[in-house]
Amino acid sequence: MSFVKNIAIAVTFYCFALIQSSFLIHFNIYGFVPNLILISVLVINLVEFPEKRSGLFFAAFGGFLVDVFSNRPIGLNLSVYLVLAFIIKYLLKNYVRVSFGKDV
Amino acid sequence: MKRFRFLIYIVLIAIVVFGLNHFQNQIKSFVYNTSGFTQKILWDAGKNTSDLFASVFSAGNLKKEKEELSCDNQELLVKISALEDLKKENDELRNALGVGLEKDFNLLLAEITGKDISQDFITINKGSIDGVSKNMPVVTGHKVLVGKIGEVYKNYSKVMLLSDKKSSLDASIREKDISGVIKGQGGFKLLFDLLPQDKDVLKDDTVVSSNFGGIFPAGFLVGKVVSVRKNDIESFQQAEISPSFDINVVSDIFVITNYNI
Repeated sequence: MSFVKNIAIAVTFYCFALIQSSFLIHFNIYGFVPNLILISVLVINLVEFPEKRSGLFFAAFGGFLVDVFSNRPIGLNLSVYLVLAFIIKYLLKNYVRVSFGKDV
Repeated sequence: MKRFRFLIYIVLIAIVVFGLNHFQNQIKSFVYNTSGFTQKILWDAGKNTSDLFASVFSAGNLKKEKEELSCDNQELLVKISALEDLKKENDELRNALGVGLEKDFNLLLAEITGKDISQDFITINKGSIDGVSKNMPVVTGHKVLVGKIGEVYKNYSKVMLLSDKKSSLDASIREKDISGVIKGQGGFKLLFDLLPQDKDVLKDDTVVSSNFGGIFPAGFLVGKVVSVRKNDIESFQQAEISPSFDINVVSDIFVITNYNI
């Protein structure tokens, strides 16, 4: 079940990459388009238990997709999203006492 | 032990990233080939939906727009009558010389399938297999300058729009002897820089490309002046340009394959 859930989230990320680069572009506000993948990565890492690792893999995959559909070298957004995920997990594990995490 | 494991993770990630970069062209080419059809459908759907919303939200401005258009119409009718004689002479000369956009250049028709959300690059469905190569100029059928080819893959290419931060070109104001440099500002914005202080740059002046830099062919429409920044302390004045190319309106563009750069 967890494997199926992971595949479903990965496919959703791919759909988000297509939607934000081809559909949402027409609804930009002063040239800015919402980055659905970044929003999803942040939500997953905030909601997930800090001890779990799957949020990091989704951060790396999401960053990889954003790199592929951009003109930047592969690895730039991948590294940034991974670092963001690490920071969120570190802060949640060491500084946040309220437990709202769940198994994503 | 924990620190050692952390270092191993860093090294593994670095190796993966290096490997992905090494095969970057193949990976991006594969993804664009797989996604191209879906992206085209989403692009057309987005364009149609945004047109629908634009017409709904602009309903309140219709009366004002109608009055402005009536004034413009009157001015244009006067200009048309003055230009008709010139057109006749021009047509005769063109027939004699056999010149025109399609006769001056080899044009390759391409469709836009997507746009980079963080940079001013668009993706088109023509690549190296169709004869596209880097730095080829890209235009619309109405002689509007779009940009130049930035990256080329097998079946797809990335076009760097004029408004991208790395883009710059020589341009001039039509019918006036004023030349300068257009610099991309990102977010579909252009800045017309290095304009002489002693020249009168006015709002709604039309900006066209010039071929001083040899990057783009001359005489293609770039945009219109929106505002002018003039400061006596500065050596040059600047103007903000509204690009004539609009991704919400245009789907088909042309790559000029025989312009010598």
